[in-house]
Amino acid sequence: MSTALQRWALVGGVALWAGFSIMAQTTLMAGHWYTLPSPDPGDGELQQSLAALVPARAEGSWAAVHVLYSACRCSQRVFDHLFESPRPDGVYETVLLVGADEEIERRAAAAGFDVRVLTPEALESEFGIVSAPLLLVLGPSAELRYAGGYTERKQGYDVQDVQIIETLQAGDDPAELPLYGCGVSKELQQLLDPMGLKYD
Amino acid sequence: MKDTLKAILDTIRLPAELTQFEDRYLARVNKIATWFFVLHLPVFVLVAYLNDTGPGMAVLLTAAALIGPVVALKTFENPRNVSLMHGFTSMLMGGLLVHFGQGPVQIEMHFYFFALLAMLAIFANPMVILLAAGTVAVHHLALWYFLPESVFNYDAPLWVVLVHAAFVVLESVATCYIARSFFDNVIGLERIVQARTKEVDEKNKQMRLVMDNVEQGLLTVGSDGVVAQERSAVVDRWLGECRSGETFVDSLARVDERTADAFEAAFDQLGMGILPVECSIDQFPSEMAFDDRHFGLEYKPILRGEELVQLLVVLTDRTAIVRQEQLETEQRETMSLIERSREDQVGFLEFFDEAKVLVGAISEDLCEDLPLLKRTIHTLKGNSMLYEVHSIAKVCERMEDAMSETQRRPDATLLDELARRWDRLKQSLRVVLDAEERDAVQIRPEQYRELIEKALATPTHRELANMLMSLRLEGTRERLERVGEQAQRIGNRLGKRDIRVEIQDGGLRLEPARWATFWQAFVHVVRNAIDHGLELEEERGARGKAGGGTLTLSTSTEAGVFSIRIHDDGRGIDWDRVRTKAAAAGLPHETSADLEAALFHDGLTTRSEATLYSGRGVGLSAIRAACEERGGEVRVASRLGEGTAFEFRFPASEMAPSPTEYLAA
Repeated sequence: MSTALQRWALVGGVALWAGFSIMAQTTLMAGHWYTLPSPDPGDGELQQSLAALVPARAEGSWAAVHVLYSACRCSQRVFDHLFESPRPDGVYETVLLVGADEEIERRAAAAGFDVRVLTPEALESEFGIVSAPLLLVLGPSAELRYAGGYTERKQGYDVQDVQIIETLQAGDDPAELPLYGCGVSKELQQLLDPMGLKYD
Repeated sequence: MKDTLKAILDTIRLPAELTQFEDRYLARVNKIATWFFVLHLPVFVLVAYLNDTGPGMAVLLTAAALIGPVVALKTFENPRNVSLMHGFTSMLMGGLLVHFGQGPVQIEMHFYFFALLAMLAIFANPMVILLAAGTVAVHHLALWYFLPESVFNYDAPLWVVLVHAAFVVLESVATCYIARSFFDNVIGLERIVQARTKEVDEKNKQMRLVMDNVEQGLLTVGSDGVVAQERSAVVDRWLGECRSGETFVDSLARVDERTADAFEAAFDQLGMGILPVECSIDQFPSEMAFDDRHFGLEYKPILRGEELVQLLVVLTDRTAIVRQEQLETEQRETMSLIERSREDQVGFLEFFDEAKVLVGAISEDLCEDLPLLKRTIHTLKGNSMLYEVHSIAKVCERMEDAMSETQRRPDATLLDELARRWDRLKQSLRVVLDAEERDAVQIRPEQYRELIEKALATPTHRELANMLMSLRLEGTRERLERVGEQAQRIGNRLGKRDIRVEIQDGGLRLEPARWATFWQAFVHVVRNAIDHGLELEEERGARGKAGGGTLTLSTSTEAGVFSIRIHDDGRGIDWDRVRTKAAAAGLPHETSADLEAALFHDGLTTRSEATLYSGRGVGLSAIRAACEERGGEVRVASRLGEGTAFEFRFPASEMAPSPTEYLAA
């Protein structure tokens, strides 16, 4: 190979490498910085689907639905928080777990949570939800009072679910926190991670 | 505005030329940076493991990010380009850290970007920082293009994004300034030094031009003896190329060890500062010769206070001058010899014939042993001095010095020099050395007249034959007069100007060829008498002796014995000293006869130092040998302070052959 050709091959190789690196960086960061879509609290179908999750014994009381994704690191932190911190009195809490995970199910049951395991497709088709972790709070009349994230910053230490519920119970409307975490639906995952570096 | 823009561009862009120092510095820093990024791999794997973000992916992506700097380090020719690659890579690594370090401290992981931006100043290249900042900007822009919400997330207002960007810009500007200052004041210092060095080199070139175009070799020697690099080109041509750090002694030793030794001794003395500088300078060798060339050496000390800083040495090629002087000397010698040959042809031809034999014996290495060679050289030197052939005498003197030093035969150079000089001399004298003229019997008018008168009065044919034979003989008066003149010439050179010579020939005549060897050796005794025997006038005055001394030369016959006698009224022989010397030499020294024998022993001398004329202990042994060759014996009588007499006694029949013997021969 001639010297000029070698030089061009080198420059081309370095350019390819730099382009690939920038792309990889971009897609990795997108997953972290992108504020995931949260459902519209006024969505009637969603309200109905959520209301169906509340058993008869808990009707008339506040209910919290935790949409968590077993493969999502952000959801893992919320799990730890839910299962290890004191829960608010008189609030029915249930977990919509995307992707089966026996350990999580065991811990949730031990902590007094109802758990429903479902697929990403089921979550989207039944609830129209495409991202996690997502906190949904229903009022005593099964109306959707809160749909948003748990923390003010991504994976922040301060998981504010209890404060949000208490604020709602006090008759105030808390600000909806941004939803940082993972895309659950295939479409969202492909959008956030076109190179397949983060999601399988 | 244009000026501001230009100033900014000038700050960002480094001069295209890369100095050796920058090259070496960047090579080192780039290597360190590559290893720094390579070490990110295990750290990122650990971070990914702790945060459950995929250690395997951490290995893969970090390794992919390392490809750039590793390839650049191995293949890029310009180290600045490798640094640029590191600037780009640093931001990639920041992105990977933020990804694998996601969790409660993910925001803090962003500090990596700011820390690395600052650290990039180490490359002393604002472009590296700008490239890194640019990488982040491109990355954000790509993200914005790809997912606008990801950049302006949680509805952050524009001003928040601008604040975010402002910190990057602020840090980048400050770091660019630091990098450029680092380049100018540290990396660029080498550039400034190079520029100054170039100026000095230019001046040195001009100086060298001057130095190289003068006919003298100028050089300086440091106080450590090392030759300075700046010197005339002819110095290297004459002495051979001086290596860096070579001493002048080493340079001289390449061409002339004796001069090198003399210089070293004098230089040490100068360095010690015991003697005044002027006195020390006088000790340095002032000339040297090698490869048939002659050089003069002059010295000028360069002092700081009284401390020697450098020694300026001026080498002058004096070959042409010396050759001219030699030619002139040789011409003078030739003219003098021609004059002498006219005055005393017999004496001159004797000298020449003997010198020819001696030169042949020396230059063709015919002398069997060292003592014989020493005697031969000494005899040639003595005879040459008497006939003022100084060029031959000087070569002999150098041979004697060399032999005293090495106790070996003289080297081929000296032998060759002697042979060449002799050939030139022979060539110059060819007119007076014509063979036919030499063999002709010359007779003066008064001799011719006397011969006719005696023939008329001669009663027998035998007596007439004897008279005709005597025409070939040399009167001893002429010989003794010649010796007397030689003695006075030697005396003049030694500062003994008023030597009186008394001659008593007894009307005797000798066959010249038969006695030539003896008379040649007899010169040694004459030189000893003048050099050792007769005192200087002041010394004689102190001892109550009048005048410059008397040398009595005589020949006589008595009871069938022919005697040649030489007597001086000088200081006499110090027999005690002879005894001491004989004892030291392991010779018998008990009786007067022992001491006389020791006096004639080869190599024994009572002098502690040899002069050009005597003092080497070979002269008396030579005369004894010549005397014994003619069947004679030597007697010596001497009293300390009163003088010395040598008597050489031969059978009278040795004086000349009879007409019958002559015809038979």
